[in-house]
Amino acid sequence: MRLNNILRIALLSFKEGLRQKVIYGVSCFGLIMAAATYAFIPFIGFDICRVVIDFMLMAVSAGCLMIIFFLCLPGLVNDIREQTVYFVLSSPVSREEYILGRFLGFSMILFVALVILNVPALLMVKLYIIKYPGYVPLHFGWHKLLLASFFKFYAALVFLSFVFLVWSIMESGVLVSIASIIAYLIGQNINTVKDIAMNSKTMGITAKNLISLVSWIFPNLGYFNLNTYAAYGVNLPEHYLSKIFVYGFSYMGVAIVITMFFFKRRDL
Amino acid sequence: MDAIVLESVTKKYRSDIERQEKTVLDNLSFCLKEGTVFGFLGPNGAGKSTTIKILLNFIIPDSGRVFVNGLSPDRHNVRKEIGYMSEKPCVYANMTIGELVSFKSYITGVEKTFGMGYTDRLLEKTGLLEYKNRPLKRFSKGMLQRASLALALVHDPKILVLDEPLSGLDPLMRHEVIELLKDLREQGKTIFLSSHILNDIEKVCDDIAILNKGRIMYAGKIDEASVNDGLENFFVKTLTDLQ
Repeated sequence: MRLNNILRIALLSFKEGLRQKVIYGVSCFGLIMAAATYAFIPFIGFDICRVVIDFMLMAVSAGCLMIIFFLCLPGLVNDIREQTVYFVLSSPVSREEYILGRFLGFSMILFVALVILNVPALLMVKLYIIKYPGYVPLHFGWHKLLLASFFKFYAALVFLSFVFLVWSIMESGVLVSIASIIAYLIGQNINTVKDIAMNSKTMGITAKNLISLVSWIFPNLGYFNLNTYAAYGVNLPEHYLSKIFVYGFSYMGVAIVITMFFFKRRDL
Repeated sequence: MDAIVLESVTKKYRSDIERQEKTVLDNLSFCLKEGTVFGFLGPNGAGKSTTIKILLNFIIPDSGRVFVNGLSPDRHNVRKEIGYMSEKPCVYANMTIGELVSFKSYITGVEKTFGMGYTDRLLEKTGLLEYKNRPLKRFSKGMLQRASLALALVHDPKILVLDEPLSGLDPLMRHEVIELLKDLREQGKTIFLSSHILNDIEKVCDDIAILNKGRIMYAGKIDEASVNDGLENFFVKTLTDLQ
């Protein structure tokens, strides 16, 4: 596998993706969310800064999700349907290099979206800290907010790797979309469901095992939710950040390897 | 050496609707010598595009062996020697032809071999230099065909695999492409060409094969095929006699 090929494909994906103008839509979304925060937050009489932080982190998360569903996923589906994948694979490029290049290119677009979405988000938080200093949580820190925002992006990367996996297996773009939406919903809630299941005295062992299996297969996006940490500065469990980083990296690695396995055997 | 060899290649598809297995290529065997221009003919659905995709490793045959330049197509280095032009232009519409040619020239390493300015020289040769910075979504059909041909020629490949290179072109452009193909033949390139336009095939090909329902119906010199009534009549006669 040649790094040069992967980087070239990544750059191609990045340029092609940026020119599709979805990023402008996401930027507008970020501005709308900031404006909505400015308009509606004053009506909330308590915990204002916490709500602003939550809102802004939600905007970052939603913006990254839009990039995945409106740019990355259609890009992959169109590669097969419009046969644009032939352009890359008719060159001396392996299918593995193509997958890694596309994933890296989409990751770069997600990072650009993260930076763009963070601008109005951080400005809004700063505005409310200045406007309502009494509501600023005691242990609030800008580095905690940035870290929480980064892990929204990281969660998007983990989810993107799952989208790649599903795309490599399924031929229909509709099925890929449906499977991805289901995976996202499961990923956001599996932590809560698993906690309830494991602590339940009435749930059978089979059901518990099934929930445990689901939590292994689908990406556990709840792990990357650091909203409370960002808003209140609460202490995280020891080595939590490194654990979730390793989990995310491992999940992405396994998902991409399985993607390569299936894609290599697929008729294009 | 034979540039392209297919030995007993079979490919079947299972239709989702009919739930039946359909044989697209049935024990297909032929070989193509270096330096020849080979016309691959057949009616719609004969298996021509499937054969081409197998040569490029886009499709994996169910059985049989394929060699391109002596190597299996699943080795991606093989494609350093192949220039491919698809029937439908398969390009990223928001990119410019200059960017795509640059991409190909970096990936294949020709930029290092031929130096800076190679992209411009190639675009000038295919009449696309003035459109270098125009996104491909704003190209006409004829310009897209030329762009696809330019992308196939970027790395000066030994073997060209062209799927319907003349379709959608006006007569003037068809003439220019045919002259280009003759020029490439003089340079010793091996050209594997699939087309429905039999008049143009007669002008440029040395050998032909006629494919129908995944099987070779005729393979031989084009002079022998077209000696009596012309290639088109021979083509129709071959297909109707065997039905």
